[in-house]
Amino acid sequence: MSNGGKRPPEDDSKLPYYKLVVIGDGGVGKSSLTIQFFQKQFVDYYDPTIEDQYIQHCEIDGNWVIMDVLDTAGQEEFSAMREQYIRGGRGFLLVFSVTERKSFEEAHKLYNQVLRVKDRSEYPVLLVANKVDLINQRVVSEQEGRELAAQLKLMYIETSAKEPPVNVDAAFHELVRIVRSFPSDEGDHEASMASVPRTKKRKDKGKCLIS
Amino acid sequence: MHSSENTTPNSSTEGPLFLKTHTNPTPPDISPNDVWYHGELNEHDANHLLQGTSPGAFLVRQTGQTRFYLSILDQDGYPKHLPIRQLTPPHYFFEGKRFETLRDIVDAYQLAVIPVRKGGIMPINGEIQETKYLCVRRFEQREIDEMNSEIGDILSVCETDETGWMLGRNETSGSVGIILRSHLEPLITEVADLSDLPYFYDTVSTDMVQYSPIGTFLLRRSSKGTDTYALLVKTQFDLVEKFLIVGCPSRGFSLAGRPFPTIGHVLTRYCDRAISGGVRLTHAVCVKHQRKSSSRRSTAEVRWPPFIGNETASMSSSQYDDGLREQKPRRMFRGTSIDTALASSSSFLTSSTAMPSPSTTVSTGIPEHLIDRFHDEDVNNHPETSSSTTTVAATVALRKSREEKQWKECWLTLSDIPGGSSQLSVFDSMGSKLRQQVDLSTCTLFWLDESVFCADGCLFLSPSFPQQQPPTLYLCFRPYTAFLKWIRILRSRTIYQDVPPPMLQGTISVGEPNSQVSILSIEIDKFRSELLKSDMFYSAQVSLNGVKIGVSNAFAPAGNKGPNEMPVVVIDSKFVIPCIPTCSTNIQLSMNSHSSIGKRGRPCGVTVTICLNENNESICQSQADSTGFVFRAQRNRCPVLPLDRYKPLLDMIRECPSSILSWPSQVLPSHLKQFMYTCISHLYALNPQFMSQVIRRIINDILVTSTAEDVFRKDSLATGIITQCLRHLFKTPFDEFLLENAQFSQSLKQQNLDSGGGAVELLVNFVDQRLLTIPLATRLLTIAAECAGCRFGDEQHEQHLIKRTLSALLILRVLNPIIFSTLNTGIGSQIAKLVQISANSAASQTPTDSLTPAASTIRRMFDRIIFLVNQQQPAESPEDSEIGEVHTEWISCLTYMIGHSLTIRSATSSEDVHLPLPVLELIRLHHL
Repeated sequence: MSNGGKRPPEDDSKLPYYKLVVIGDGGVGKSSLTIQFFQKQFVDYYDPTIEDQYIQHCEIDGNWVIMDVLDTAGQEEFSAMREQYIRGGRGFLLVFSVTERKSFEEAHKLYNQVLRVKDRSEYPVLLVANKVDLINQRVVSEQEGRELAAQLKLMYIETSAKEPPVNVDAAFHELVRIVRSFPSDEGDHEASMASVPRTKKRKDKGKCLIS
Repeated sequence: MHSSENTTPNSSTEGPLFLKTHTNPTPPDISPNDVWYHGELNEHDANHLLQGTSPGAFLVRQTGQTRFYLSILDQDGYPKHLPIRQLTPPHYFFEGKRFETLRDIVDAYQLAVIPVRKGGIMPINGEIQETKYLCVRRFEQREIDEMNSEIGDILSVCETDETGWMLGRNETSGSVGIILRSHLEPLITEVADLSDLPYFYDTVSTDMVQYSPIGTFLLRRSSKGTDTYALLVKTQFDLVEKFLIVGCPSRGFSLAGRPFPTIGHVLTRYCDRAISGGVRLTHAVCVKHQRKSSSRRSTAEVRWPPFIGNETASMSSSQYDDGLREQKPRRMFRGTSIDTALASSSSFLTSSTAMPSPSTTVSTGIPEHLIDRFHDEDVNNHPETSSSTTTVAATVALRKSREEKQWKECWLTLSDIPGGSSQLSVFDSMGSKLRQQVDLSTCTLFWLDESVFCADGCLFLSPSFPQQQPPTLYLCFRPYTAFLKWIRILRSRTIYQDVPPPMLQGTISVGEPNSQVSILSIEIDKFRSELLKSDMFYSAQVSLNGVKIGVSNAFAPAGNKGPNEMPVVVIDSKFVIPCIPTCSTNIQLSMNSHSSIGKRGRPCGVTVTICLNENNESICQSQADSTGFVFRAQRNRCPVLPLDRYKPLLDMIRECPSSILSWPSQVLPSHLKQFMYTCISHLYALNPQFMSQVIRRIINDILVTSTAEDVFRKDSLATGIITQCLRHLFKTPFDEFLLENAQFSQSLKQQNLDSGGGAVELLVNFVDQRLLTIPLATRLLTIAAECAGCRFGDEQHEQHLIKRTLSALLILRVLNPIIFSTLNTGIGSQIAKLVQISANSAASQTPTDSLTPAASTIRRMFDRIIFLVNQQQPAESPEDSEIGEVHTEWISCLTYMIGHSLTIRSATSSEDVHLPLPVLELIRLHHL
């Protein structure tokens, strides 16, 4: 808050551009997380998502970046579309719900799909355990989550989109840091920009500060 | 012009008596022979009767105690209504002159030459008179006053005073004249069995009426259950509609809620009133019974000569049988008829007879949701014995001879020839010209993945000796259920080496047709080559023995990894192809390059060939070698056993389907899981009665653990199966919708994508009118809605939760993925989002007034399905649902998949699956 008066630079053409994708089983809270991060509100009703794109400037560790986040459909019938998103993404929030063991098992398969499509043995992915506020309905423990993350060599974070939100901003910021820490690859960037046509943008010039 | 005597006979007439049902008494000067007098009749109905007649056709009608009209078709073909007043009875006043009788007026008006008979209109008291007839023998015109009639023509007729002859109008051709009664049968007739009706069929293809004139109809048994029938009517140039009739001969019938004593009453009503779109029934398809003319009947065709006088009287005794009565009034009538016909001939020889035109002012009044309208076509499986061959099946299909050509409609006929071979004949779509004839015994059948032509239901027939055979043949069947039936019919007649594995030879009949089915599973992971360019796109292609059976999407190479690594394109595509040849098979993998996504690909010249034979059923290339491909290919051969051998498995599937199908869907890789769902979908399409019970149990099992808010948003066995069934039913009509609405795609590009409302509305209306009239689809959705109703019955807002169920299944999981995969990426996702937003609103508790048009339509769709749930009779008890004809090859594939799941599960989990011993034994048989 000490930097409350700071604004994104006027010329953003030189800012780093991060295309991130939120993936996970159906109903784990992908949209709630994304809307909480971008619009600071909790959506407590469930409407299925087809595809939503959010673009926003954000200051992370004192540096401004452009975040282009794609919120996706989780049902298996959309697996063909999911692969398209994976091809065009540079970083992934891999979300499961601690109240659904199946979504936890599905997370492993989704990570394998990312590696297969990217033809890599590692890729910027953050494992997100969501809905941790539902303490009585929790069926996947934090220990299990961390063990899977260690097995897959991923960072792990626990979140809740419900008010008051837990680790929502931290999750997105951490993913940007992970993408930064991976070897810089301009070819990837060019390929992803060219192969995924931009459809709709929701530019939100609002501030997003973290100190 | 008319010079005959006008004396009215005083003697009592022996002609037929017409019922006097009018409120105003018939004038005393009208005799029963004055067939043109219609009594009380309004202008609208008079216009209806005059339509389709020739200029000069007339009738006289009454609208009040002293008001009459002479209604006539003028020389320009328009009806006129000339007033007649009876101000000082018994005198009539017409055009300023006084006449003694109505007949005097008719005789005086020169244009009135063709009487339009009474009848065919429901009297005021609502009773239907039996005046509609069906022509059952072809009648050829020999005299000027006769009319031609073909078998199946509907005629509106009345009696004449001459025995054996009827005067009437042919509703098919519109011609007016006389015809022998022996060639007609009443349309209203009592039959103990509908099979006795000449226009009734047990199963039939809609193309029997599809290529007939508008107004053609037939009646057939409906797939909706016993005592239900479908009236197929050609209502538009390219539309055949089906109207659901429920009932039986003993208790009557019902169409759109209206009761009728017999089927004939249904037909009679809609011969006079439009059944849909202003179209009335005019012609019945009667190919079942072809009666032969008998020489004994020919004597009845002798007619009264056209001359009146003593000479005629002396000739009559030698012309007619003794049984025919000679009555003076009869001679007078014949004279009148002959004179008017002759006058018509001399005056209007050049005028053409108009076809009956639809009366757009008459509506059927049938509620839309009760009209059984769909475009399914059944395969006609009735054997039809001709001189030397047996016709097994016939249907309309699409054909082409080479891959790059356009599809053309054709008429297929499959015949078995004595001696063991079968012949497939390909005609033009009208069945007029033979295009190709294929000897199936020398052909190999290939099932084509939907990626080859972006369409389900395609196959390829390849002759074994190309130099000696006609060109190769691609076929596409619609709908998908027809494809499944034809695959089975064709597969057993094409080359199919039935060499079971050695260990099985003792357990099944060797050489029995359909004794094996092979499944080919191919996974192409990636392709690595120095030739790949970063600005191009690449797709992979799978061929069998040179026939393309699958093709992947086009992808860009992955980003540069460094100077030491070759470029790589990740294909990550999987194909599961059933019904492949079981003999030695060559698999070819090749690459195509595209300058941009959507452009036609060009071969890259890189091909790898794999040979599968009895000793080598599996190939795995885990590292890119000189060919560059990383892939896995596996062929599995499954025995197809007699149906009774599968009883243990089918019993278990029926009783507790989740226990045997749930865990396979959890352990199988996604492409094999999809194939398992496909097998179940095929079983549902071919045996909906049996599989409906299974699917109902599966849905109930899933709903037990679902909360009201998350119903069907989780992937499950239920969602997988229902989705696959609906997708197979919807994909083909959706493609047709895009073809019929070429501007749909174009308008999307021009429109601002942010406001695609018009396109969404068009699409949603298509779903409402075309997709949700497919019986197999509505059946599934009705089952889901019924189960949701039972599960959430005690919750508040029950209907709201049922709508969420339908929204999740129909819109989220079926329609939107189809939109995504059919339209291109940007437009497809935008449309899918807008459709989903409308569906979310429709399933919410927002008042209907606040919904967008698309959301209103979707909500109405949901309401209609809920209505069907409430209307349907109690479901049959599970014990009553017997398995009808079962295509056991799909049970064989399903059994194999379950066994494969067992293998995977044993390798990864120590937990046991408890299956009955007979089922385990059956699974073992499919894994050797």
